[in-house]
Amino acid sequence: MLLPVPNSLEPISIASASDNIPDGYRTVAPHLQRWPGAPVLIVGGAARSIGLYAAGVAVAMGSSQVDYVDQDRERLEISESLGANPIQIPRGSIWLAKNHPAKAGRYLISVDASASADGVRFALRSLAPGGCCTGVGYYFFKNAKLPLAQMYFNTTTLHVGVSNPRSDLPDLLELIASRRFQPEKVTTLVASWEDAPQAFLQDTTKVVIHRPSAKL
Amino acid sequence: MRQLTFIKKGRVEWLEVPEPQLTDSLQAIVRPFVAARRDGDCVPLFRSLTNLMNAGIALHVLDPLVTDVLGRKPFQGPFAFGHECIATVQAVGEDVHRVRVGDQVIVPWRSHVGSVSPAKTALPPGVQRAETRCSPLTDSALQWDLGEALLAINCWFLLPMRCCCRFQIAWNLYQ
Repeated sequence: MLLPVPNSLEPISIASASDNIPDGYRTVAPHLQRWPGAPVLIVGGAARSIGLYAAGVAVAMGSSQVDYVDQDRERLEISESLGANPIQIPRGSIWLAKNHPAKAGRYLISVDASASADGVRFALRSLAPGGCCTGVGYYFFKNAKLPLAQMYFNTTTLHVGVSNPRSDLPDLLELIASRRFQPEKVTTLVASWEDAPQAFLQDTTKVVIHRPSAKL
Repeated sequence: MRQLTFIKKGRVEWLEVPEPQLTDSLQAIVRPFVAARRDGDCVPLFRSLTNLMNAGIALHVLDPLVTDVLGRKPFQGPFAFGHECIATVQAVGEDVHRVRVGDQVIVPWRSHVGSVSPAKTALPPGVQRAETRCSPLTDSALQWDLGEALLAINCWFLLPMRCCCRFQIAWNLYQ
């Protein structure tokens, strides 16, 4: 269902409101409402902007610690500008497989935006008892392994699924209007409408194209 | 009008396509003026995955459900490219009351109301909202047109029309 753009918001700042911004929002907002101030871990990667939007929302909603793990320098810098703590890891997923906590981590909320099984496992194993992990990526692999014993003993919740933007947008737009969360910080390239074929091929975090709105 | 079209890895083009038309009283036609590349769009843009994914499915490495969502040839062009936009409403069906012509709107990639036409199709007993029925598994097409004006978009169910039609058929069969 279509949703009118609030007058207080610049359309270009919410260009990804159709999917990626609310996708990030839903990974942390409901949990921070339940656990105010809870520490958050985000494993960044293939879901380039979603992890960053999640980091920005978590900071805006008062998380006591937002750690953003990624191997991409551009995204790490953006996470820092959003108020998160950037943690750079080496390229490849081996680091994630070898550096997870053995028994339990210190985060109540974790997000896998790497779209990898290693990322999910790292996010799960980094949770404190009772924590909740949300995975937002394309998970195409058959029979991906999960650390079920650790999840069982720590009473861990794993949520994997597509986003449902329309139901989250009213609260999310209010948060953006407050300026506590500025999604435009994630945008790395703004191009003209005509240049879409070239702009969309730039290997960068978030590309936005625009043209004058229709005069009706 | 023009449609931004994915051709193959590293190639996206504007192509001419027919103008959209309203075909249902609950539809709207919108003209996007801000659009973003969503993260999932990067998958086919930077990698040739069609053959690789089919091989992965044949070797039981990838889940065969992938083809239910992405088709038998995943990410095979050409297809309309685009997923996120802010748009101006250009036309609405006679039963659309929440938005008017000229409104600037966010176009969510999916609806949180699962019925194509709630007035005509009652929800099954116990089902308040049909989120689980809006699974991408109900159709392979999750992209919509990013051209001069969007394809006719259903105000209640924002997946492309062929998806809506298929969903409607499935719903009727369920009842």
